[in-house]
Amino acid sequence: MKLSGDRILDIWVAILFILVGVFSGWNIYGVTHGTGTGYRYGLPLFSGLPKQAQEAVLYFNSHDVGKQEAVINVSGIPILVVNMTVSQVYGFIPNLIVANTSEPVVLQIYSPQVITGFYMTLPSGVVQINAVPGMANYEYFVTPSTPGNYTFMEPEYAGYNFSYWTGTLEVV
Amino acid sequence: MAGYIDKIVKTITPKDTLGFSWLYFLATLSWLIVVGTMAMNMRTYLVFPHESPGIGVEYFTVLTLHGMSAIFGVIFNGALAIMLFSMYTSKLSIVHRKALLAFFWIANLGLALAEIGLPDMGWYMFPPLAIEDNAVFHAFNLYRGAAMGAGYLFLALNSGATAAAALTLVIDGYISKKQDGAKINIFAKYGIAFAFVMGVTIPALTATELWFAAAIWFPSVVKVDPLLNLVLFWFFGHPVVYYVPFPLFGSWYYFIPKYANRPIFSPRWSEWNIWILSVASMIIFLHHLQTFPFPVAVRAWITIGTLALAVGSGITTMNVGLTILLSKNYNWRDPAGFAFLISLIGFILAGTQALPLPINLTNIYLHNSYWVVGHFHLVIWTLILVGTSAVFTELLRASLPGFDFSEKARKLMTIGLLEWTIPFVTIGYLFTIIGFFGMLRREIAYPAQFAPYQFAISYLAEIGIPGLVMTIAVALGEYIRASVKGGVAGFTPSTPGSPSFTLSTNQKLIKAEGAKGTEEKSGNIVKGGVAGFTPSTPGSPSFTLSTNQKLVQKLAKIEEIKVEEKKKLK
Repeated sequence: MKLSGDRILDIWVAILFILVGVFSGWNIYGVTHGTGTGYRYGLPLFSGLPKQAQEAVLYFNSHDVGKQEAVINVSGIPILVVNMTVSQVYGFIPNLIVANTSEPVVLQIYSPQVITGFYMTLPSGVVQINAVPGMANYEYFVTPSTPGNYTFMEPEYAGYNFSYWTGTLEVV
Repeated sequence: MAGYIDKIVKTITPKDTLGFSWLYFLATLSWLIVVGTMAMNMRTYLVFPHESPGIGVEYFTVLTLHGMSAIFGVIFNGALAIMLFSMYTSKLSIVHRKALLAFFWIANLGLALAEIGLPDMGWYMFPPLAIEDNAVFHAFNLYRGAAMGAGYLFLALNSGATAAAALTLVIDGYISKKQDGAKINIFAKYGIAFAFVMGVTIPALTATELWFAAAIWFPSVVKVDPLLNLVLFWFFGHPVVYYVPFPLFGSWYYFIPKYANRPIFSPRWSEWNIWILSVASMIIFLHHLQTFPFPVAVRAWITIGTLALAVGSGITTMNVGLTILLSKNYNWRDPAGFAFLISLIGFILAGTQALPLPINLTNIYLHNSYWVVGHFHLVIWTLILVGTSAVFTELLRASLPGFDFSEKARKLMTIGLLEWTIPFVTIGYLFTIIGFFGMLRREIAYPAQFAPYQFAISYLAEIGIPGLVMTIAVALGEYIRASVKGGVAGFTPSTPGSPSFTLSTNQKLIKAEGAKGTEEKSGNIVKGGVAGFTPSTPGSPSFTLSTNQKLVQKLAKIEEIKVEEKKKLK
């Protein structure tokens, strides 16, 4: 049986759409079950943060902890919550985060002037999020298991000197 | 001198479809020169890994001029040039000539006026940075304060007029098809379909630009919402990358079977695919915003929508690829055949690079990195620029029937295409590698480990650029030489149809017209002339009466001179 070009392309299109379905299914499973990378984190209204991280952020915001970062333990898991602002001229405030090894961290990022972002490469992968004026955005990650210093950068064009907006995650 | 001025005037005020295609191609080339010049300036800065913040003002101006000229100049004009040529190949005509001409000049002068203000905000114009004007940052170097609003108004004129031009092509294609009733070829179908996509999506850009202008002029009344503006912008900003590629897909379906010497593998899917590509290209814009605060459902859709579009691309490459592979003697020795082949291979390479980008799970690793830069530049360098060069080569052939490139020119054009493609494909992969290892785009101070890569990229670009210049220059040079030799030097490219009159054909016309008598000649020349030339002058329905009269008079004079010379020689 000889297939026409049209018929062969019919089969090819069916294969492509099956691939799309399988891939999208795997993707949605990763999103809903938290097995994916940072995608499920950092969404507004805490929708992507793990439940214990959401509780830590709520506690941090509703209590006067007296500083920009604090370890909050409201669900049995200590989580470092960092209130970070990214703004023109000076970049990250704070530009130094000190954390323990294998410690869960939530960044609560504000960008009061222009659109900015946070980018850091850890041994386990990239941590990246954008911040928009008028709302907070959230990033969740777990620090590496060995001590070390990691540089975070501002990845979005936010001013002439944005290349110099850097900071350090110090894992001790 | 007067003759040259006359030619220039005719070129910049075309009267028909092929003439408009020429005009838009010439505008594309002009903006491409700006794009290339700015790119090489950027490459000079980027070989040094620790540029001071003070360099930022100049660097980001150059970056913005590079991006704006590329998107609003090369892509807008290039897409319309290809679409117009596709209409010409299908004997569709531009009906609203004055309107299209006005849109062309408003769009291009609008962009030129905006660029004179030395914009600094990047072509993507993310607010509120895009409307900032203070001691820390200014969106335009020259347009300060309220004048900044004028800068955005100029950009709005550029985008608005381009959208109107695209819709004019759709309307005129419909009108001339209705009049003619002929079947539209596959090239024109793609051209018209994606002119519609342009006409629908560009107004989103116009809206953002007008929004900025209004916010600058009436700050107490109009506020810019950054997130809403991003959505609006990317509704245009993603489909824009398809404005040239998808009409080029149409050109593949139309020209590649000719070079492959066999029919297209699947005619049905070459037509059905238009629907997948046009619809999917307009619904995936949010895949540029995966690190921004959007709901989970939207993010899930991004992946599915983008992969659905990838299916359309997969159909195209399979359909065209099998047409080539199953042909026994694909004519890659022809410069256009070779360029179409490169554009197809380039699209496959660049498209493969794109696959990890819309996936939620992997996007976060690559977003804002040089991987993205590598992907879209590879599309531009191979598919868009080489593919457009191939269509331009076909335009030269259509403008002068019987014209073909000499053996020497073919070799030079082929060498030029290789000299361009090899370095720039290498650069595309170097971008990808450094992006994978964490080199962020737009940075002027970057980790020193990437400096050797940046140096290699700049060096390779220096090698590659002359390749494309040589290809286009040789093609144009041969065309002009053949035009002069063939006795058609007096016909500028702005009078499409006319370059296709050979001397002998015109002699026949003159004889025929002479036999008919003066009254009939002056009264029916458009009708009769066009009917006589139909096979070689698809754009000729818009040919004017006066132009034909002048043509006949000119040729009659040439004939008289020749007769006199013969008498003298005798």
